[in-house]
Amino acid sequence: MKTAHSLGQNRQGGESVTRAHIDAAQGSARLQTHGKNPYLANVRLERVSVTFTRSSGGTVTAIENVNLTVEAGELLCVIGRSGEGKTTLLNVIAGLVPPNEGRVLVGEREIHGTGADRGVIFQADCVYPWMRVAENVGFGLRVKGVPRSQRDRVVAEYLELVGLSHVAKSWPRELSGGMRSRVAVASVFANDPDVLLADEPFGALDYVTRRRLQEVMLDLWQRTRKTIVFVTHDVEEALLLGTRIIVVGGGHILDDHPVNLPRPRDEEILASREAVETRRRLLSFLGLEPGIVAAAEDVSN
Amino acid sequence: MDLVRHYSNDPLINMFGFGNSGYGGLLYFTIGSVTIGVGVGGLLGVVGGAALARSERPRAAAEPVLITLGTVPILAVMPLFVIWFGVASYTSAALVALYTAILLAQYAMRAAENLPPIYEARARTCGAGLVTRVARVLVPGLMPEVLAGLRVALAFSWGLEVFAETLGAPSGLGQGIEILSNTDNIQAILAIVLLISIVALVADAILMMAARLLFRWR
Repeated sequence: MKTAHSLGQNRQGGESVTRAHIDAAQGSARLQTHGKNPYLANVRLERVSVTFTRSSGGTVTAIENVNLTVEAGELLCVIGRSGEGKTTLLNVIAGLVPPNEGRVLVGEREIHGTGADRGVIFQADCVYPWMRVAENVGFGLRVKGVPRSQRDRVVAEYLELVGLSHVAKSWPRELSGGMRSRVAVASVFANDPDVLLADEPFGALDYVTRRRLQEVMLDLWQRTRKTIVFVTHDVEEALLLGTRIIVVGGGHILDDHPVNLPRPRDEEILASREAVETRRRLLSFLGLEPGIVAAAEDVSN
Repeated sequence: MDLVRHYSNDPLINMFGFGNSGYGGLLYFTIGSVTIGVGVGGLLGVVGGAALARSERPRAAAEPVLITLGTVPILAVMPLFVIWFGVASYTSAALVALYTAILLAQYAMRAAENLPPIYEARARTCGAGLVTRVARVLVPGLMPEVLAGLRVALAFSWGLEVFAETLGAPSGLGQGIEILSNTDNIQAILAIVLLISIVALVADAILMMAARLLFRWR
């Protein structure tokens, strides 16, 4: 497995996103927390239900009576099959979907609608094509009214951290899919939200790019200790990233499992007995037959 | 030199009370009317179209009306405008504004529908209010498609304006054509047609240059 010493390689310049880059960036300036304690933000869902009305007239319950607490600084991975309520859960926390019942609290505050305290890395490409890379990364700060000089400094730091300093003035159309994903990640971290929500952000990328971006994400999380809710359909990704994994199915939380594997979680760690047992457990909650689970283990071995 | 003399000071044009400015004064009036008509109509159309795109029922109601209005012949509309506004300097501009608004409302509606909702969702999760979302997301997102509509509207407007002027206007190249047609001066009429064609081409080139500057990101 690649470690954080080789996090990514861009297409244009062939420059690697190395630990040295990150250390250099961090040495020049501390990551922005705007004076807040980044460890304070936890998320609580209390008896949350969301029901959608179909155009045909019927209703569908996306999530039902969900209680969940995400501790501050936790990297919670949410897995589940498609259409089982993962994205709805995330959108409720983001404030993009209002709950029909129950309430969502960030810290001690009940949320109503969206807010800059909850940043979202979306599944689809949401980098604004009419803004240069640096403008995209600084968009949230501009919305907040952060002065230009401070904004430029923060943008430069995060571009350095994700290895995109050399394309700061490029248009998004000039970037590869992986680079655009890195812009999205940098944009959300730069905006310094209390809680970061990621909705299968790397799902559409090739394996190598995905692995590199997972490392970038992990590295940023370890530096900022933001509370992160990371939705994925990939058990391996959840095992690699999460401090805790929940399985969502039929609009309910089917399983809630802490992941105590040491980091960095290299191939050896992910092949350990504990990891295999966790994988087996998660796969069984995803409805895979024991035979398929065994086959998956064979492939893993 | 005759051509220049004709453009700068046509005795026939002068005879009918347009002063001694030749085609210049007429051209000035036509360009002014088209600019005001396209500007006002474009603004109303884009704002209206973008607003309609956001609300399902009003959009469903407005769409067939806009499509039908766009097919109403100018010959039927212009007499109504002359009755309502008289032979005023803004009558033909109002007609241009009407057709531009109808056309651009449809382009803006389509552009707003095509703009990925995730762009606005991202802005909302960054804490952006309505004004910021409109200024920083909606407007730049709509502009490429709106500009395509503006190009069509502008090209259409020159013919529309000249035709409206022939039916009733205090000045303009259309009035020039109307006067010259009474004297069977085919050469002078063709000169005006040539003039309006050149102006239309230049206007389109300027619009395209502006578009290239504005949409470097595409």
